[in-house]
Amino acid sequence: MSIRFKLLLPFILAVVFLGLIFHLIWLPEYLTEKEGNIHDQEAAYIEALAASLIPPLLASDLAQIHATLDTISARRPHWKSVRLFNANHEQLYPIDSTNSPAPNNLIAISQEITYGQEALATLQVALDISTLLNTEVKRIASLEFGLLFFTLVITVFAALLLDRWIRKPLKLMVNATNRIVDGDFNHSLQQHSSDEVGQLTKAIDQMQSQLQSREKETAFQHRVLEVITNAQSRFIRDANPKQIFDKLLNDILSLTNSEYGFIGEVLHEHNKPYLKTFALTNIAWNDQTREFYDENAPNGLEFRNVHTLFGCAILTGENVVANSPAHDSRSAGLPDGHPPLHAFLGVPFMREDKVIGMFGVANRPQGYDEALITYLKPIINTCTQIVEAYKAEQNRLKFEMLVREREVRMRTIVNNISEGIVSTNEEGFIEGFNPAAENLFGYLASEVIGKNISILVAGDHAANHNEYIANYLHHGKSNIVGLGREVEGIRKDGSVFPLEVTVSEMWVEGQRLFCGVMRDITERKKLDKMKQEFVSTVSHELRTPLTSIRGSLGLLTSGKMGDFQEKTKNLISIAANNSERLLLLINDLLDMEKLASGKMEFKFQDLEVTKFLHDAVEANQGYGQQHNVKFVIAASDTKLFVYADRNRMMQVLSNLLSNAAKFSPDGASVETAVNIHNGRIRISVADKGRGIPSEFESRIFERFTQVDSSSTRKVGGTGLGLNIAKAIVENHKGNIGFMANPEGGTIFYVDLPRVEPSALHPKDRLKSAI
Amino acid sequence: MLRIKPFGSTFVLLSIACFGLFFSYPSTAVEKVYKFGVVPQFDARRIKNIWQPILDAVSKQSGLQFELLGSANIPTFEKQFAAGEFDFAYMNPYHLIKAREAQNYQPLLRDIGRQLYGIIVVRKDSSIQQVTDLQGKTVAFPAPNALGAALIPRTEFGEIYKINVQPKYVRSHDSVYLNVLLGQADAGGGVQKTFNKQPQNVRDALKIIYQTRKVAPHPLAVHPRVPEAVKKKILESFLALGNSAQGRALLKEIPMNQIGTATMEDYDALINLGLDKYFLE
Repeated sequence: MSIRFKLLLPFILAVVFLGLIFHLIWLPEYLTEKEGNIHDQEAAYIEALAASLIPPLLASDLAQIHATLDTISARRPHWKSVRLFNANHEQLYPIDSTNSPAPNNLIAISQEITYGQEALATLQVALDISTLLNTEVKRIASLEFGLLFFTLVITVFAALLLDRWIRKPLKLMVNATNRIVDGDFNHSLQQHSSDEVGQLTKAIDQMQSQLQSREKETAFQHRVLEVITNAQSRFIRDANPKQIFDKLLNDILSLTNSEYGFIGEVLHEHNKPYLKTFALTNIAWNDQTREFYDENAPNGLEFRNVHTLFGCAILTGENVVANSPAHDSRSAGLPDGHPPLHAFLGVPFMREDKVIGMFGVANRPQGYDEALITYLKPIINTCTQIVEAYKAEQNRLKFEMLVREREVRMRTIVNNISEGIVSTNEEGFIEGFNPAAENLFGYLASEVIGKNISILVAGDHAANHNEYIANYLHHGKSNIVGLGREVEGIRKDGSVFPLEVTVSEMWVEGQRLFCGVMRDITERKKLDKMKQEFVSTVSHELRTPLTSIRGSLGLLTSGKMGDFQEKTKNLISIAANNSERLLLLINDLLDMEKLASGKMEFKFQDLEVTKFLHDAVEANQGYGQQHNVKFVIAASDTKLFVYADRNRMMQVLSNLLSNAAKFSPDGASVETAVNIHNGRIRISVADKGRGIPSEFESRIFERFTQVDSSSTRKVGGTGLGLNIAKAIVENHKGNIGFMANPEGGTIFYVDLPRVEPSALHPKDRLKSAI
Repeated sequence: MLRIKPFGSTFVLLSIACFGLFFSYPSTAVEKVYKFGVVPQFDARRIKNIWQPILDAVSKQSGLQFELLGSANIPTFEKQFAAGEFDFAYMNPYHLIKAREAQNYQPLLRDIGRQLYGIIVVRKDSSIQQVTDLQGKTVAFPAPNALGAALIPRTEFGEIYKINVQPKYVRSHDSVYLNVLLGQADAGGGVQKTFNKQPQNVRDALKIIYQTRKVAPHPLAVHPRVPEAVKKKILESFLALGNSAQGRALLKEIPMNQIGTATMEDYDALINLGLDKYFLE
């Protein structure tokens, strides 16, 4: 059903409804009423007629009466019969006296004609009202037809108007909408009346133009996406930046309708940025520039002058839009022969506030604006990502090359190193086995890789190795990791040999590995044994005669063997001193040897530290006096105990006190103290000497170390004392150290674990209770 | 300040218009218009329909101007000619006698092809056979002084037959015949011409039992003040009408079938009949 018919339908229905009401309800009522009216009218007419007959009746003017009644009868065809009788009931009209009764469908009206009291005549009229009513019905029917015709005309007129005002514009709108659906936006409706239809038309036009612009926008965005997709797929497929950026530049030029342009990365030299192109439109304008382009474009042209339009983008990190470059203060001008520049757009590629590249395009006929940049945003981002990825790729390649070089170097080292290097995983299965290790164990790498390290280790070590690893992993307790552990290796042929293993822990790609550097120490062991035996032998062999020499010299210097001349005395004294010194040296060497060979025995006991310090000071007081130095014991805490070998600790303190006395100035005092430091018991000895030069600080506890040889000569000593002291203290689970004395000189200290009273032996506990 | 009043300007315009009219039609005011009267036997409109074309034709012929004066009824007409209001008048013969006595009107023209006489009608089924049977009967007449239909018969009833009738004046000849036909009168007086004009059924139902003596019919009389030359022109013009078919057709409506010159001698017989006695004022 058409809109036109829909709009007309209510009107037509209303007309039909009104017509039915008119015809079925109003008309019958009207006719009934009309019949009554006609009767009344006719009666009134007959009455008037009767009155008009009075004069001719009085004058017996029958001709007049006949003429009147003839005329009236002729005029009123519904008067089927008219009769006039005089007072004697003689018929006066008409001439014909036939007295036929009125038919049933006729209405008879009789009117008496009187003059004063005198009855003159009687007028009888027989009416056929149906004729009149028919006339009325015909009249109404014509009215109805007229109305119907009028309605038809109105309807047709309304239909035409609806057609013109609504259906036609709607049809146009439907066509326009269909065209829009088909993607044709080029037909404006143009007819914009001021009514709702016009407003709708206008709205459709507006919608059309909006859709058109959106479609353009969408097309542009599709093109942008296409460019991005192409660029990305090219980047994935073929990492040749030249080709990617050449195509990308062409796409950007095409998208922006630009004439020429470039894409490049921003590099730095001496902190100064410059541009190196990936892609550049060939705008060479003479042989020279053409040659230059052909030669350099493939590897990228470098533009060092950044005080230009494009340089502005690099320096500021802002987009550069210059639609009138000739008058732009940022422009540095163009070289002679350069193609004209009407408009320029430079867009930097930003990564975390740094310009990593940019593109520049030129000569868009309509110039450049921010809207275009907004549209190009996805491409700009893609360029940024590709430049970034390219740079990352370059770095990765460099790094890879470096790694490869290092790996080669490392492999060469590992392969050529004399130590065997065996790496295992957390479970102890061998993963690496270098040529030296092959030589060491007699296995080929292929024979041991994947096998447990235990096949290489003999005895308890082999059995416990896995446990060691488990302990280390779970508790961090290291039985294996560390330097220079000696174990027994087992060769493929089953022979056992001493092996020094240094195990280090390392992480490779998230996996923990243990790397053991192994050295066959069979020869060294032999040498050590020979050395120890030699030292022991030599010491004993030297000490025995030296003791005799010392004893003899002691007798001589004591004067018991008689007086000597002063000159002789001096010589004997020198000999006695040097033999004493030699004995000390031999003792120290023996201690060293004992400590090194682990043969030194310790008799641990609970030791009351303050008392022990008093004893030590007292025992060394004589030595102090020799150097004119006084040992002082500072107020110290009592009832502090350590678990120590009294003799060995006495040896340590003697060393510290003698050193303090040796290095103190004449007449100075050396302060000693016992206190608690970090939960441990600290015994300190502070001198007022020159202090330890910084270059010696790191070596002070090494063997044969003395501050300088001259001082050695002056103060004497073997250079082994502190080393022995350190070994003794460490055997007590303590540590020894030094620091500068704020009052000048040095403070040496020994920190030992404190023994709680509850941990004392019953005897010592009893003492501490007293 | 001088102001022109609207009335003043209107007055000037009206004056100019009247002045123009006056000079456009200088002769209308001085033309002699002859007054023409006609006996009101019919209603005024019918009279006008009959006579105006004739007067127009005569006027055209003679170059004279006429004014047709109306008369409300016959007594008025009689007073008018007695006062000499008409220059020319068409009247019945008895009126001519009265008009000559009063103003010396002279007959000029009449229908010379017939004569005027009265008739007495009764219903065909009536027992009345002759005039004497009418003694004491009701006789319908158009009017007391209708010459042919009433005045001559009544005069003859009284003077010749010596009978008395009950006159019933019913205004018109048609009424006379209808009264007789419908039994409202025993007999009726009329003239042959009107009887002939009755519908066939009326004529069939009636019969003529008597004819009166015959007299010259209605003359066109002229007042003696009208100059002879004018009289002559009028006479010639009417006679000229009688010579053309178109003119005769007009004259026939008067009715005047054969127009000719009338003289006073044509009406002498009437003067001797003694009509005055039966004339009702």
